[in-house]
Amino acid sequence: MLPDGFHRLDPRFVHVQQITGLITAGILSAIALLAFGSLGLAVGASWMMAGLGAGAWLAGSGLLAWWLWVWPRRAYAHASYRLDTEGLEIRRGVIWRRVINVPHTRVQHTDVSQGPIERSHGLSTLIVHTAGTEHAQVALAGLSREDALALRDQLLPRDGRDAV
Amino acid sequence: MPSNNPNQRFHPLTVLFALGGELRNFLLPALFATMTTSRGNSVERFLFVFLVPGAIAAVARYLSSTYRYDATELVVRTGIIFRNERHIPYARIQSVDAVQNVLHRWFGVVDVKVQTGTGGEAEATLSVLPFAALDEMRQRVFEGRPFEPGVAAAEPGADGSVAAPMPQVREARTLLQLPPRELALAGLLDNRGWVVIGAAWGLLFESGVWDRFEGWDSTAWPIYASVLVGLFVIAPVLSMVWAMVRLHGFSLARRSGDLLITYGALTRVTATIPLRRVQAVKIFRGPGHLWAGRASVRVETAGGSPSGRSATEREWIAPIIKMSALPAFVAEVLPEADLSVLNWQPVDSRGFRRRRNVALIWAGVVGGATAPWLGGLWAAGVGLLLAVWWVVSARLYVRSLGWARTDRVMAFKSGWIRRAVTVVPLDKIQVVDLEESPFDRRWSMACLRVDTAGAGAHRIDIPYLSRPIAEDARVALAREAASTTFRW
Repeated sequence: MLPDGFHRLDPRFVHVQQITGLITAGILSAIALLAFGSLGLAVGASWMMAGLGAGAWLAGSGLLAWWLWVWPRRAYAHASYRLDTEGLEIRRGVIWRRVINVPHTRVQHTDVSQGPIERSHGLSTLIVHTAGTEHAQVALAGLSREDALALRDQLLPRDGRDAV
Repeated sequence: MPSNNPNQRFHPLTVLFALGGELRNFLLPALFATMTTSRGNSVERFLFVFLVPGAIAAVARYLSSTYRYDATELVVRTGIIFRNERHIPYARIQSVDAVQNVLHRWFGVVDVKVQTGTGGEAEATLSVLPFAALDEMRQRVFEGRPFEPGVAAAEPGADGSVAAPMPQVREARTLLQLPPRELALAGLLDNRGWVVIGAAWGLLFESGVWDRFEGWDSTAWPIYASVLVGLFVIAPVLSMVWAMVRLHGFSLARRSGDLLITYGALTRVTATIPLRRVQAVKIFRGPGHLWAGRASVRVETAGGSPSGRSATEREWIAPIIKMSALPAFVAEVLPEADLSVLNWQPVDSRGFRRRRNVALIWAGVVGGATAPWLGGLWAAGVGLLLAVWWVVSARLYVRSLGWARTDRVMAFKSGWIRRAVTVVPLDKIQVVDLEESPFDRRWSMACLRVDTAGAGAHRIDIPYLSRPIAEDARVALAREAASTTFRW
């Protein structure tokens, strides 16, 4: 159950993260395959060693892919945000949990961006820029495009005067 | 919008200084060339090849660079083929620094660096300007500010009448002046001599001086000993001399709403930091400082990097200061930060137990890992020693942590060997965040962080806070930040 006023991210974001995860897993597996393969050829491994190596690679890739498929769902359950009169509050993290508060008056400017996979699902990422150093950019991914634009509009300076 | 002010060129000596810069770049390769080639005239040809295009480029750059004061911004134009026009709004300028080395002073020119909030290099380096132009720049850039902090109200006269407001008198009030003795102490505490020693050692190693000293015969011992003693004496002396030269004549003054810092014997630096650009005040005390009853103070202005770049000289507003003078000094720089009223609260005392457990585990690991080499008994001894040391330092560390929140500032102190205190005015808080690691969750603690526009080595990053306290603080700080406007 979410506390008062908090919203979850768009559920399609789980799918986006899973696809991204699979692509990442695919690239990593390919690299690992090349590495193992060339190592095996260089060393002149026997068929048994090669079989063992291939088995290890398969197991590792499978595990990685499964992990990157399962994790986004857990992350989704722990992510939420709220925009109120004071500012934007973002909660995320499964193992390492964070609560980030960005006051209205500290927003320098905002970006709404979309990667290709996000675009195909109708999602966007809202990036809030502040004058901070560690949090010079606070990103909130997994918003539907309409929500992201609405949030952005609400985060722009209230009275139009440059508060900075 | 363009004003009627003319586009001004830099000082003609810019060409000379630019050439000097190029020469410095090629000095080392040229030296290398002289040492390795046999033909005598190759050096001249070498220099000629590099200097002539450099000279032509320097003249061209001089002729094509101008600057201009508009109503609200400084406009700097550079470039011939690729023309660049840079507009820097006065409101964004964090500080104006002037650097002069010996040559600059001889000719009466300065190197001016204009800093804004973005990290990295200065946004505009005007090299070189005549000295008089510096005052004009300071006046134009910082003139017409909307408010000046710390301005005293007019006092009622003897008959109870209130005098008309006096015009702003822009004279400087000195806050700190360091005599050479203090600078020497600062150098000693800073201990940069070891860097030179290390470099010298490396050079000597390369040149093969040590190859003569093979073996531990009776003649080598005195030499080794004297070298070691020499190093332990030379390094501190070097540090002290270096500090006395680098910070010679250090003086910090306050003029209206600006801090003026001047120092340097050979390279003279004059820095201007408007008080309202100060994002945080940080006070550092190393073991030497604790022994000598001193501290060093710096301010953070916007433009720091997330990694926390090493302190640039101009931000040490007090390289060294007596502890007795510290509270008054900090109150001048940051009027809201009255160190004496800061009610330091400790973190959760269970934090020690967490650190102690980690220390014991690591001591066990190290002991176990060294057992194959040292044998069971020695390894146990090592483990025990490490355990004692780590547990004691854990206790001292957790006890050194403290934080304080007033209605004007947020402060955090940490460290028992090197003590650091960070004070951040509430209206300079940018983002507040709370983090719980899985271990935090088990102990129901959390870590509170406050982000500001100026970064640095020490920041408000409070570990081992009990969860409800951390949560309250987070909400309160976010509310405070939301209710104040952030003004550059």
